[in-house]
Amino acid sequence: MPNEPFSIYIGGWQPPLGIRLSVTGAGLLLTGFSCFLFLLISFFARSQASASFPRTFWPLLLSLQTGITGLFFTHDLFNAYIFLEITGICSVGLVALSPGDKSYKTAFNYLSVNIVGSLCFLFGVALIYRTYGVLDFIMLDAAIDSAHVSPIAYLSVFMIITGLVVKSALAPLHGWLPEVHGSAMPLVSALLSGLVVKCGIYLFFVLWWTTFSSLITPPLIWVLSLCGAAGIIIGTIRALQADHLKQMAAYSTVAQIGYLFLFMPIISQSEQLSTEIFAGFLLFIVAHGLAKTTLFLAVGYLKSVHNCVTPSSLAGFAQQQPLIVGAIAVSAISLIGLPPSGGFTAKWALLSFHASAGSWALFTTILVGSILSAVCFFNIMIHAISAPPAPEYGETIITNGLLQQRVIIVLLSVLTVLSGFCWPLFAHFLRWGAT
Amino acid sequence: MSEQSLYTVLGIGLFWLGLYRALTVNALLIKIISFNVAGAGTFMILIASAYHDTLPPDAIPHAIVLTGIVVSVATSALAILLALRSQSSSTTKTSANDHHR
Amino acid sequence: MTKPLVNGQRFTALICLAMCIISLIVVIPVGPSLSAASLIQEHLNNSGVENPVTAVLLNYRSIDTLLELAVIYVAVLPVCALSFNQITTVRCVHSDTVLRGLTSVVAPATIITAIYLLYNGTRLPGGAFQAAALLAGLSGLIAFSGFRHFLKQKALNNTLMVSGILIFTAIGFSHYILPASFLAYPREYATTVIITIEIFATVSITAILGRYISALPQARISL
Repeated sequence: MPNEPFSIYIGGWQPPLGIRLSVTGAGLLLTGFSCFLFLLISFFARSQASASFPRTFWPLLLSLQTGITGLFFTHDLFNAYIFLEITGICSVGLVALSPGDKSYKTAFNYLSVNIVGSLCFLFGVALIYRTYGVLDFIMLDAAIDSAHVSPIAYLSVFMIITGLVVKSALAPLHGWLPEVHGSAMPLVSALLSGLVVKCGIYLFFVLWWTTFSSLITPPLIWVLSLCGAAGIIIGTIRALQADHLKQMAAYSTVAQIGYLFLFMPIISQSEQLSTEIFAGFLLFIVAHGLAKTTLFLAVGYLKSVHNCVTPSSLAGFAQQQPLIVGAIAVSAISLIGLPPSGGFTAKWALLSFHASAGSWALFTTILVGSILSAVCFFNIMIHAISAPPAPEYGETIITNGLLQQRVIIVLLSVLTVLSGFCWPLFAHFLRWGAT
Repeated sequence: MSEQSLYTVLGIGLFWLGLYRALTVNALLIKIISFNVAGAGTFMILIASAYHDTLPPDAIPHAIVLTGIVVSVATSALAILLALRSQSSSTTKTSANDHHR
Repeated sequence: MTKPLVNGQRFTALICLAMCIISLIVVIPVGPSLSAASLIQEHLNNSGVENPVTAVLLNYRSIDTLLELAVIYVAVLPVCALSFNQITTVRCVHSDTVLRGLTSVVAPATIITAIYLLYNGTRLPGGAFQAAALLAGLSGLIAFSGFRHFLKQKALNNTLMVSGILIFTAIGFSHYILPASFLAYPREYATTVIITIEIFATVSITAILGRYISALPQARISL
């Protein structure tokens, strides 16, 4: 494997005239992961195909894959804007196709949130182009470093960050996420929680570590840490109070996004430590993607087959559907951060980074968040294990394609556990350039 | 104040005006129009930054604005359709899923 | 009659006003910087067109244009699924003699203007998007004034909508035949390639924008 990321200049033109895509180890890893998830989701959707399944689902799914893959490789601000738009429109379309009578209003709200994020992002890009004349990440880094750092740079960075934060649902701007992820089809919720919010965060991470690295000031770090911590606490507390399983999973996504944003404020001087931070960030994305997809698919399976949506209606399913409840248990283990799972390794990495940096408040917040989410998930598992099955949740409603769905859910839960042992693999990929 | 600064000021004002109105109204059509106004403000800033005294105008912001206009048309079309659908009754929902291209 | 603002709206208004003032204070003193304008002029001979904006759109930053075609295509997918009219049954409700007469006079002139805009896009301001917008408006006018038009066939419409992206990507992948990178045009064929891309892009954007227009309900609905 080569040691440096290599660049693809589209059309043979160099920046500032043309656009560069940068092929890095991190981008390859995330692209492979996202394609794998899309493959599994396609099989799951195919096994669910019935007369009422919307046919427009498939082109939108593939276009969503285009948008997400592009965001992992782009190194130009306006190119990133267009990929964000493709991703946003596809996600909105997928939400709008979901059954349910409130899905149009929800899709409109989601589209409004996406438009607000894109507008702020484009405003920041306009100001940056006006001031520096370049849109490429690395050239912009050089331009910001060399020139006297002016307030306009801070304002542009603030607007770009606001746009990305709105799109990836960092608290306090997270209000749209539970409604949208809770009311979409389980397949679509899995994709939204697992991949779509992550590509915005990945773009933020790349910008934070390369282009805007000279603009990172303590107030900004402080605000980001506060928002991340708020996301963790609000997400887990609301997940405790949620009365529908899908809503609980959506609030858990809010909390996990809070954890992800806590990877940013760690300042490191050494090259090796920043590579490790990036590896931990990627592992967290992969582990959470696998765990959240397992959770949403299992919850969707239970809803479509047995029509149970609330935690209390899970009573006795441990005997009836042991594989599915086992899959929920494994994803819970990863989301809480218990060994052996990907979530455990990633959270341990996060905790050790914060401990070595000395930020004990964030350390405590992460621990408190993990304990609270443990309470939330144990509550559900107790319902599933203990009580005898209630009679009205026993009949199966849909009977075709169930074997494929079970296989996919079990495969995902096994991978959630296996990803905990993948730290060396991530570190190996990141030798090929992090950004 | 030079013309370029005037257009930049107007662009910034339009952007924040559109964003404020979009975030506070409840009527869906006014929200969509406000998003378009905010986009127009951003485009005006870009166009104003393309002016040079001696050289011909810089073409990259023009290309960015053209692309941005098309993207905002697409987004507005989808938003209008969703707004219309969410206003009409829920009985049209089942017939909508059967409409293919 | 405007109602007084509630607390949430006051808060938002305050924040937006503050950000507006901050933006004005921060942005105005800094003039725009010189950028790639001179580079564009330098390479204009190699790009195959004479208009710098077309050169940027279709040669230097061509992948942005390709992705923009992808954006409007991706937006037409849910629009078709949520549409109020099937494409074969777009009805005309409000047609009358004046409208039909006007359309029959305006249509040929519009088509010629659109072709002029498209062809002259290499020299003067113009190009694929402008021509396509004109033609899409014309197709809406034709449909709503009651004339039959060819975009009502489903297969033809679907093919046209996809053709822009397909041709553009196919040209981009021609680097497997000629030694260059993705979307790099060989210098001697650059003008031909650009005009081909523009023709297919015009056709597909017309079809897509026409689909947006025909997806709206015919009766009046107040939002």
